[in-house]
Amino acid sequence: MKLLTTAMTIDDIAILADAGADGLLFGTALFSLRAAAVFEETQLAEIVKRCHECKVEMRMLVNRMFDEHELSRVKEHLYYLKEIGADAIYFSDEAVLALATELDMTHLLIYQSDTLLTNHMDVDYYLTEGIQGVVLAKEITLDEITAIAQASDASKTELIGHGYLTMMHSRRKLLSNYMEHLKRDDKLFGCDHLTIEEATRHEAMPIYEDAYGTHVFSTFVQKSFTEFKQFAKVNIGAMRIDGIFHTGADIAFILSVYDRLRKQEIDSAEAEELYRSRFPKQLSTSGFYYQATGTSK
Amino acid sequence: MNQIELLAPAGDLTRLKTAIRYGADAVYIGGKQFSLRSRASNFSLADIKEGAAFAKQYGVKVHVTVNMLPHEEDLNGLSEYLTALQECGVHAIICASPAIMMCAKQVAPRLEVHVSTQHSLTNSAAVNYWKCKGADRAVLARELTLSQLKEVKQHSELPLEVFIHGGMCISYSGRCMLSNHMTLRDANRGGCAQSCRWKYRLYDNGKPIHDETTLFSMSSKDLMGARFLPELMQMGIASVKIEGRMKSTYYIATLVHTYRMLIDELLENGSVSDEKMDWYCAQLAKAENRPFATGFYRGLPKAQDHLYGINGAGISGEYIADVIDYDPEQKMAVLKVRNKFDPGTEAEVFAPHEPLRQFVITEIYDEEDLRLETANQPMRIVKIPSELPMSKHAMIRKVIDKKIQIE
Repeated sequence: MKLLTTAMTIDDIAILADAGADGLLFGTALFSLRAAAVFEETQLAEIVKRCHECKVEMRMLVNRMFDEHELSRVKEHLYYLKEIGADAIYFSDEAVLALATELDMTHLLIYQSDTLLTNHMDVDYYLTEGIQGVVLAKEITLDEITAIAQASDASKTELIGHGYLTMMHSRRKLLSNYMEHLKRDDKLFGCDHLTIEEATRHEAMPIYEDAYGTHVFSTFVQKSFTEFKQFAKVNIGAMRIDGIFHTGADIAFILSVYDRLRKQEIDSAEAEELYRSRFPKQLSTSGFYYQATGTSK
Repeated sequence: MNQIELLAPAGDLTRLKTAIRYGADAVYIGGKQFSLRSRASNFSLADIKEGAAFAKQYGVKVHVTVNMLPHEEDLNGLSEYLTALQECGVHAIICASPAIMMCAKQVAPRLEVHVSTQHSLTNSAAVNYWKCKGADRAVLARELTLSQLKEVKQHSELPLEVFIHGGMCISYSGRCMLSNHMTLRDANRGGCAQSCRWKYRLYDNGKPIHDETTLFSMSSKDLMGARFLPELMQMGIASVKIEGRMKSTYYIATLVHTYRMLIDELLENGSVSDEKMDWYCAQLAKAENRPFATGFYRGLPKAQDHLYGINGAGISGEYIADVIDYDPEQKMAVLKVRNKFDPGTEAEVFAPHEPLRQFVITEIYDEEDLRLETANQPMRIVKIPSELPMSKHAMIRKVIDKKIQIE
C-alpha cells in the first residue's frame, strides 16, 4: 500500500520521501480545493523533477468545480501537467474527465468527490472510464471499505486515512457575510485559525473562507493505526495523510509512524503511543470506521 | 418565449394530485427505496403506479428521485426496483449514483435518466459528459448565476433543469457531511438533520469573535426565482423545479397555481409588467416559506440572503379551508376547516386554472345547519353561504396584507 501525503514546501519533498512517502499531493490556487499548501503553476515542473529525483510520485489536485469560462484554462492546465510528467491528477468535476479524454490522459486521473463514492458499483463505474484510481468517501465504515475492496479492484482505491476531514463546502462567503451582518469589519477571508462550535457543544470545527467559498472540517483528526493492517490485507492501493492544518514537521512525523507500521517495525499500539506522545492533547479518533451513519431521522 | 416545464414536488398522493390539478407539467416524488428526504412520506410502488396513472390523464409526467448515494447494504434490489418504476409508468428517474444511472439504462431503458443536482454541474463539459453516458437531462447546481447559466446553456447538449423556488442547501448539494458528523444521520441517504441551520460560536485562535445575541449560522433564506423566469424561458431552460417534497398541500397548490399563471402569461404575452411581477411574487409569499432571497441568480449571496437567529418557515395560519363542494342553487359552499376563521373574515379562493377571487365569510354553519361562532376545529366540515361559485379542490385563505420581503 502506497503512503501519500501533502507537501508544504518544495524542500519538504526530500524530507517526506525519506519519511516513507510514495507520492506527494500539490495544489494550486486556481485549480485546487482545500490543498494543504498552494504552489505557483510555474513551480510545478521543478516539483515534478524534485519528486522524481526522490522517487516519489507527483500528484496534483485539480479538484474544484469549474465554471464555463474556466474550461479552456483547465484544459491547458491538464495538458501542462501531462507534459511536465505529473503522475496523477485528482478531480471531482466530470468536466476534467471529459477534457482529459480529449487529451488522451485519463490514465492519470483519480476521482475524488469527497462524499459521493460509497459503494463498489460506483467505484467500478469510474474505473471503467480508464482512470488510474478513485478515493472512497470518508463517511463509510471499515466493513464497507472491506466489502468495496473485495468487490472492486482494491489496488486502485485510495483512502484518506489520517487528518482533518472536510465536512462541508459552500460557495458562499459565510464568514464575511456574518461579519457584514454584525456590521463589523473583521477580515476573516483566508484565516486558517478559525473554529466554530455548535451552541450546545464544546467541539471545535476548523472553518475557513477562500476564493471558492467556505469550508468546514471535522472536530477530530481521523487516524488509522489500528485499521492500517486491514487496509493492507484487502489490498487497498494507497492511504493518504492529509496535512491541512498541520506543519511540515508534523506531517513528516505522522508519515514516519505509518511507514514504520507498514514495515512492521512497530505494531498499531506502539504507533498509537508514538503518535500520542507528539500530540497529547489532540482529539483523534477512528472517524466512521466503526460508526455507521443512519438513513432516517 | 420558449416552453418551460413546471416541475412540482409531492410527498404523497394527495399532494401529487394537487400539484397536477393546479397546473404542474411534471411532478417529482420519492419512492420507498433509494430516495432522499426520509420524512417526505415516500411513495410505495402501488402509490407510484396510481400517481402515474392519475398524471397520465392530465398529460403530466412523473419523475422519481432515486438520488440516494447507496452504501453496500443499500444496493440489493436495485434492478428490480428500476424495472418496477418503468412498469408503473414513471417517465424519469433523478439520480446521483452513476451505477444507478447505468443500471437504469440497462434494465429500464424507457425511463429517462436525469442527473441530480448532487453532482453540482456548473459547466457544459460536465453536462455533455453525462449526455455521452446516456443521460437525458441535467439538473444544474444551485450555485450558478443567471449569466453563468446562460453560458452553460449555450454549450450544453442536454435539456437543463434549474431550481426556481424553495429551500436552499448552504453547501454544494451532496458535498455536505455536517449531518453525518454531528448526528450520525446520512445526508446523502435521506437523513439530513439540517445542522447548517443550527447556531454556532465562532473563535479565532480560541478567542470568541461571535456576537452572543446573534450567533453564527449557515442557514440560507429560501429561493424565490420568479423574477428570473422570463430570462430562463428565453435562454431555453427545459424545466424549473420547485423544491419541497416535505411541504404541505397548501404550499404546493399556492406555488404551482402562481407559477402556472406566470408561465402562461409569459407564453402568451412574452413579458409581464413590473407591477404584475410584484403581484406574482406577493402570491408566492403566501405559501408560508422562510424569508426569501434570490439564491445565486444575481450573484454570490450576501449577509441579507442568510438567516441569523430564525430557522423555520413562518406559519401564518392564513390557509383556512378546502372547498369540498358547492351547491349553486342554495349558493352554499361545503368546506373542510384547516385553520381557524370566524364570520367577517376577508378571504380569497383559488382553484386550479382559475384566477383568485376575494369575498367575505359572513356566516358559518355545521353539517346540521346549526350556526357557529367560529370554525376552530381543523378537518371539521362546515358550510358557508357564498354568492361566488366555488370549484371542488379550490382552497381558501385569509387576506393578509403582507409586505413582501424580496426586491
